[in-house]
Amino acid sequence: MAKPLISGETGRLLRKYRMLYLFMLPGLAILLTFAYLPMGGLVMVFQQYDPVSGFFGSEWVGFANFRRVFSSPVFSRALRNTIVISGLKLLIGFPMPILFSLMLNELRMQRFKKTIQTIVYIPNFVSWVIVAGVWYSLLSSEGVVNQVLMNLGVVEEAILFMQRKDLFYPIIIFTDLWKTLGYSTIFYMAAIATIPLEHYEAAMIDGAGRFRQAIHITLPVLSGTIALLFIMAVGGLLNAGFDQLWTMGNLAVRDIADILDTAVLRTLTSGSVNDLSTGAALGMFKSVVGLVLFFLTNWVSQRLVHESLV
Amino acid sequence: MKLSKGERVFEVFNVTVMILFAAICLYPFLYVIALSFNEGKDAMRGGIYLFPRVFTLENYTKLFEDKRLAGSFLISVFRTVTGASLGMLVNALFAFALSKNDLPFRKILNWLIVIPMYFGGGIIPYFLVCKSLHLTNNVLVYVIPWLATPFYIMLLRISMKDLPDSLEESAQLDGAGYGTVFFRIVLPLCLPALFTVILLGGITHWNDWLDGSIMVSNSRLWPMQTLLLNILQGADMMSFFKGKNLSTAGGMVRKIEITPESLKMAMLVLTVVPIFMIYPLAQQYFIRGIMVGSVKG
Repeated sequence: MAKPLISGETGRLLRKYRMLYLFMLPGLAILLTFAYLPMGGLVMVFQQYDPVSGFFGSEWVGFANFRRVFSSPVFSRALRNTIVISGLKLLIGFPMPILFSLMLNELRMQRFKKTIQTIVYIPNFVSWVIVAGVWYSLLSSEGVVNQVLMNLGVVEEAILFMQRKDLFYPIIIFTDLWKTLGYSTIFYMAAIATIPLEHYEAAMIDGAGRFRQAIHITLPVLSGTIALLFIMAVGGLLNAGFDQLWTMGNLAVRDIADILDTAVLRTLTSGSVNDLSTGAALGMFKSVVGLVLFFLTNWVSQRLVHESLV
Repeated sequence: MKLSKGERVFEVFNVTVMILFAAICLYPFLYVIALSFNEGKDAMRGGIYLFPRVFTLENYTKLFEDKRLAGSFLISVFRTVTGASLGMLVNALFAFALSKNDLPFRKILNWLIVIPMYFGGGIIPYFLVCKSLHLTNNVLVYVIPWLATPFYIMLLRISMKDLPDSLEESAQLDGAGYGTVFFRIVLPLCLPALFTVILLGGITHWNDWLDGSIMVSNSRLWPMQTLLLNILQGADMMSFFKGKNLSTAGGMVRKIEITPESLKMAMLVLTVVPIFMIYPLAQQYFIRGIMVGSVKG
């Protein structure tokens, strides 16, 4: 049904709310400038961008930048690393918070439980710069990990943890878990808090032990949250952890640490103007594929979570 | 309540695992703090676990002598305070307008804040936009682009929608305009949500290092996190040591006990301390924000 653009009612509301549009002006200006203008700036992926001519004057080159990206060894390496790191994080990092929440839920002393929660949330609130600095120090040759290993006689000489390619992924997975585990339990603990105590009491009268209560009462309540978080994690598969890899990576492990996001940023920090369009094209590839992945998994989640909630 | 034997074993196991895990979360910070108060040369021998062995404040005093550190601290404080409070205001104003169900063009405006949550132009066009606005090598780049945050707008809108319309209507009958309604009625009633936005915004500002790394090449305009990252990666250590290796006190040459490592540790501690100070007060607001966000998301 076609409506006139501004009916009498809309006009009345516009007048009534005219002050509110003024309220929105600052936020609107910021969003248009810093969120939407860069989206428009993506025209540069079809140009050989040069800063002097800008977005309007640069030469059009069609899909040449994409061809350059896809044929570059850096791209295939970064794509592989991104998927491998994300996959490992999903495989190992995803089940842990569920297990941890179930265990946390079994703690009887509320005071103790609260204290544990408060402590394990802490690493989430410090930056990856701090996390990288702290763990580089712990894992350094005179750091505490090597000291303990040597004192126990496990190793003769200090292990150069951060220089070893075979240890880099385990360290990345572990530090990611260290930083985010507590944070991820917040969602599960909130779901658990909705379970009425009577359910547990009824199960207890029926003779169910605590293990069976956790499996048959707590876990089913979590299934919706689990499905949702899992699907969101799959949707974010191309986000392998930019902050972490940029702050913790180093030249010795560049081959296996370089992900799509870090490759994009390096085209910017390398200072070579020629790379800007290629870098933007690489970035655009990542966000477009990421968006498709997100909508795909979101669609699946609507069906799946809907089913699992019934 | 009677516990079976298996349950009692589990109880002990569970509590042990929890304590262990909490210790793993906390210990790395304690270790770094211990190192930062230990003489650098001595720390290289290893064997420091929880307390400094040769206590010194020298790592910190050396850091404080560096003008750039004080500068970066001020920049971090500047962006955290102005960024979080101005951002709260901009987002709250936007959210207040969007909380009106019959606001014309509300749908379009809604999409306008949803789209950037899922898609962006990426870092390179963003950099070029900031550059063309002369925001590169300018401390304003830490504040201005961050002022409008879709996630905070949604968070604030949720709590503003919960307010009863009658409050606003009766104020308007008394002749109050939207300005008065917003500042006198809406904001005071949304204080918990406002705190959440300020604290989440503040912590994001304090923790951000990327802007400094890409937008600002003049290291005197870096926030602490960017400076720390460069020091940690070894790119910026020499400038810290320049002219400090041999400090003379009263004509006597003081022994050098500082190492790049010990300075790094002190810098790390200084950068993380503000978070640790506000964390106990702010925890409930953080969790609230995360929860509300997840319900919406």
